[in-house]
Amino acid sequence: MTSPIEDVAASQAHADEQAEETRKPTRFAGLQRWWNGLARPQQWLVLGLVAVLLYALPLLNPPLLTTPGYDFPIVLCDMARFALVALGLNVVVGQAGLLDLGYIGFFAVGSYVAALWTSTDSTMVKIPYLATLPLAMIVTGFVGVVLGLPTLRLRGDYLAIVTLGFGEIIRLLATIIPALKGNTGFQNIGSPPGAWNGKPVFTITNGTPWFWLFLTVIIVVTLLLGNLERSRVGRAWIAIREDEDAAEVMGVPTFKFKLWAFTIGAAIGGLSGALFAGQIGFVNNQKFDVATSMLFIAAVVMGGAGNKFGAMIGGAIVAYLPYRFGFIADKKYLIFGVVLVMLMIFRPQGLFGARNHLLAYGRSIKRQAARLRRDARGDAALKEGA
Amino acid sequence: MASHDNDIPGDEAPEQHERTYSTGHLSLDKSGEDASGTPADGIPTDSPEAPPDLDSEAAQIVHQDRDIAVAVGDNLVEIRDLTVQFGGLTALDAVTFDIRRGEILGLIGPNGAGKTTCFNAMTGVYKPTSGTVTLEGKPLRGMKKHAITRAGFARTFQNIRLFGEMTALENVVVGLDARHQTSVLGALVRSPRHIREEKTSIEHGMALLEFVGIADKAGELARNLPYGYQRRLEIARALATEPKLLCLDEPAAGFNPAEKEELMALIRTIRDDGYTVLLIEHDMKLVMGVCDRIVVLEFGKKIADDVPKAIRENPAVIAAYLGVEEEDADGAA
Amino acid sequence: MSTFLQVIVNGLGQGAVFALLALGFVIIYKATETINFAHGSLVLIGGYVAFAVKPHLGWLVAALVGVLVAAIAGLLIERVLLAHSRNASPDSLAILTIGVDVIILTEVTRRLGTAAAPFLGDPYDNKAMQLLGLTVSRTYVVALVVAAILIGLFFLAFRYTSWGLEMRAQSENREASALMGIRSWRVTASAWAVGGALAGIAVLFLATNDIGGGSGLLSSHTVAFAAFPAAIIGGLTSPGGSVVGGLVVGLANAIAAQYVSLDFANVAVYLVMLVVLLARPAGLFGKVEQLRV
Repeated sequence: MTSPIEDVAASQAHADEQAEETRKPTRFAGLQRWWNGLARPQQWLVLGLVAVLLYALPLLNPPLLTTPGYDFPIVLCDMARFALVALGLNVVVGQAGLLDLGYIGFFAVGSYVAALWTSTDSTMVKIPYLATLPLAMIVTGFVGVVLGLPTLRLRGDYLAIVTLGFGEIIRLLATIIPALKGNTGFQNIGSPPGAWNGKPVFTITNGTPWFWLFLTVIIVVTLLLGNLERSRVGRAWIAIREDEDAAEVMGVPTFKFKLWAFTIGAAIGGLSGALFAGQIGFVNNQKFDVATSMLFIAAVVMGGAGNKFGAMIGGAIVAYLPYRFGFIADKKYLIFGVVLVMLMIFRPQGLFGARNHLLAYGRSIKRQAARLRRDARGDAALKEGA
Repeated sequence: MASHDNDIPGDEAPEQHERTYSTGHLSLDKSGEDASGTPADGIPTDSPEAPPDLDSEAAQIVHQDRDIAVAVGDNLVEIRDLTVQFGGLTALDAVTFDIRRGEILGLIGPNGAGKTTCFNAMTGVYKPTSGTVTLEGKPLRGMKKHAITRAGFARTFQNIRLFGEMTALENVVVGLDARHQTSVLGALVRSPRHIREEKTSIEHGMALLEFVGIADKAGELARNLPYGYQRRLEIARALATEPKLLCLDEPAAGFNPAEKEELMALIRTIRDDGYTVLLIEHDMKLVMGVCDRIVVLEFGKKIADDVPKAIRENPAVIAAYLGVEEEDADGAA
Repeated sequence: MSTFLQVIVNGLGQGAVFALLALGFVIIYKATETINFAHGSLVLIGGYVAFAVKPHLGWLVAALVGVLVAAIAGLLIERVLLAHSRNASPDSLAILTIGVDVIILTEVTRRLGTAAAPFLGDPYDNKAMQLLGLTVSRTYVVALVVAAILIGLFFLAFRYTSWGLEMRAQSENREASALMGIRSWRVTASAWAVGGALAGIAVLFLATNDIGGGSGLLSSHTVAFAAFPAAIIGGLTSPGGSVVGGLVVGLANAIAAQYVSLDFANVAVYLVMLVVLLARPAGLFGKVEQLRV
């Protein structure tokens, strides 16, 4: 029952709200201010401390976080896996604004690459497990390009359904291609080398070394993605997300960068799939369904559009909650459905909506801009005094 | 090179800064400065809102430095028989005109005349049904939008289309990126070229913001900027792509008279700095005051193409805007 | 040859059901520019209520109740959820419908869990009939007839009633039509209701042994997924296209299932969609939009 006038009033009110939000202190504002106030070396120090803490988590097994009934390091591995997936999907959905509902497909391809080249059940030549990680990224990246070339020219609405279809196709191919062994799957997937006291370090029962491997990969990927963010690539992605047509008129080759986003996202998905295959030691066609794609989307959306730390936290939470609170485990899809609906209505920008910083040397302008503001205020005072 | 109050290491002096300043403007019917040094457009040059002196650092960096194959005064862009049809509707009908290097050309006409359609057809947003657009003699037919921008057309939008979630400076740097050559891999590993281009981006971006007068809000989100700032940010972003032709689509919409004066001064400074400007506007005072020549469209057709004085007295133009006089029942006109 | 004809008839019968689904999906998209990922849930809700009511009130009443409930469900989604997220981007709205879909799916699956396979096609399921010398399942024939009638009625309404006019006007230009006195909420709400109703009718044929397979209602959500490629093939903005898309999907499904394998049939549908999109990026009858800047 709204007229255009009411509509306009509503969108103006919404814009005012948004402007208000950026001004009034949020619950993280104190944290943000403190963080932005630190000098670069200090920021690195804090991040280093956080990293050390994370590495220590499986050994500490803190009582507040621990998961009764489930092996804590294995839970941490699941959280890390979701965090890495969310990191990759964030590039596609959060930064470039491409709604990819079939991300599980890339994950699956990565898992099968690891399985095919290291499992004793497979007929392909065996290569060391760690070599399958870059191989998975290359293969999935290639699949991403092949899928992206025809579909990224489509309008956004079509893209969502086509990617959904792709996820389904991969799952079905896993079932019907005989070489992929459908339900039987592949066992004895390889693992990184290394022995301690005569026993191999990386087994499927001991989650801690796998968690450390995941964490290292996450840190490297985060650093690299941060480089991309603060470059013309990251700026192009956000410009495409905000207003694709205006971006193209401003000289951004939108198709090329959309394809890169898609490919990079795919490669990260494949990487996490390969790590998952190694950690769990077994791959079959039962693990790659549409519902999991939706969980991935929920993780990214919860974290906030484009914010990689938010996405990782979202992923970790999505993986963690069903373990910690056993009673929700069987209802987990229901709960995440409700969470998604609530978020989209009340806070579509996500829980941790922090702004991307897109300039590599952006901090330097703060001084310049402050100087200009002071000058402008000085001039105004002069004019008043005169 | 003048010292800069930012973090760029002093030993790096990319060639782009070694510019000699040259006046490229045509000698046209413009009023000059009066004795006290105040330009005839009325803004004292020491006001913070005035566009910067053409000798200032900001203007030096912004100065048009690209090699343009055409001499000042010759045709930079030629539009020939440009036609755009949507289904049964002819929005643009065999429009033909030239844009000369160094001039400010106005494109006016009543609402619906096809002015923005012309812009869109030139910048590749619409595919023309027929006709050609040539830049420095080379046709732009069939090129993708971003290629046309890189070839030398830049534009602002009638409805502001900034990237809301980016700051003002980031918006401008997106325009600068059109000229950058860092590859994705280079950005991934922070190649020397990437580092160099990022550093000069900050400098150039701030210079552009200073040039249009909004540098004090460089770090604010574009969607939070005041309206006047947003309009000027669009101009800065367009300038960042180093265009040969700058197309402004109703840049003064929503401005009060004082702001329009400032805008006129800014447009003149932009031209004096070496750019060619194509301007769509509804405000006659602004158009007459700033344009060297004017093209008038009505119902998709060109009805006049002349200097402002002649346009003002052209009966066809008057009829298009005001209608033809009708006789009342009692014979009074 | 007669096998081939049989496959064609099967394909068209299934396609008719998919056409109903796709039509509902496209009506919703045209009116609200939202991709309704919860369409499968509308199917499921209508089917569930019909199944629950059937033992008490008989098949016909149950069917009507199911359709009504599905329509109301669509209406509620629009009025309660979408109307309050006016400022969300289209992507956010799509994700919202995903959330709704997950909620309804898990709830209904939980309630149906222990029931013996729930079927809804009592009057025609598993009953064969003779048609032009072929033995076809009655389900396909009834589906085709019902779909043809309903689709015909819809297009008549679309072209000749004021409701249809309002829908067409609003999908072209929301503000202008509001300025012309068209109450936009009525158009969107009725679009969702109609979409829901069509889903509720479709489930009466999906939850059968012939079309849905052995698990009846439980699989109808997954089968309803075919509405998406059907709508894409036809073009998201074209109701006529959605009917064609539905038939194409049904035929592709039937032909692939018969001559390759049952599993491949699902892949075949998506492959057909990709091929169509390569040739016509907006679908067979979709419009390529001109930007206005």
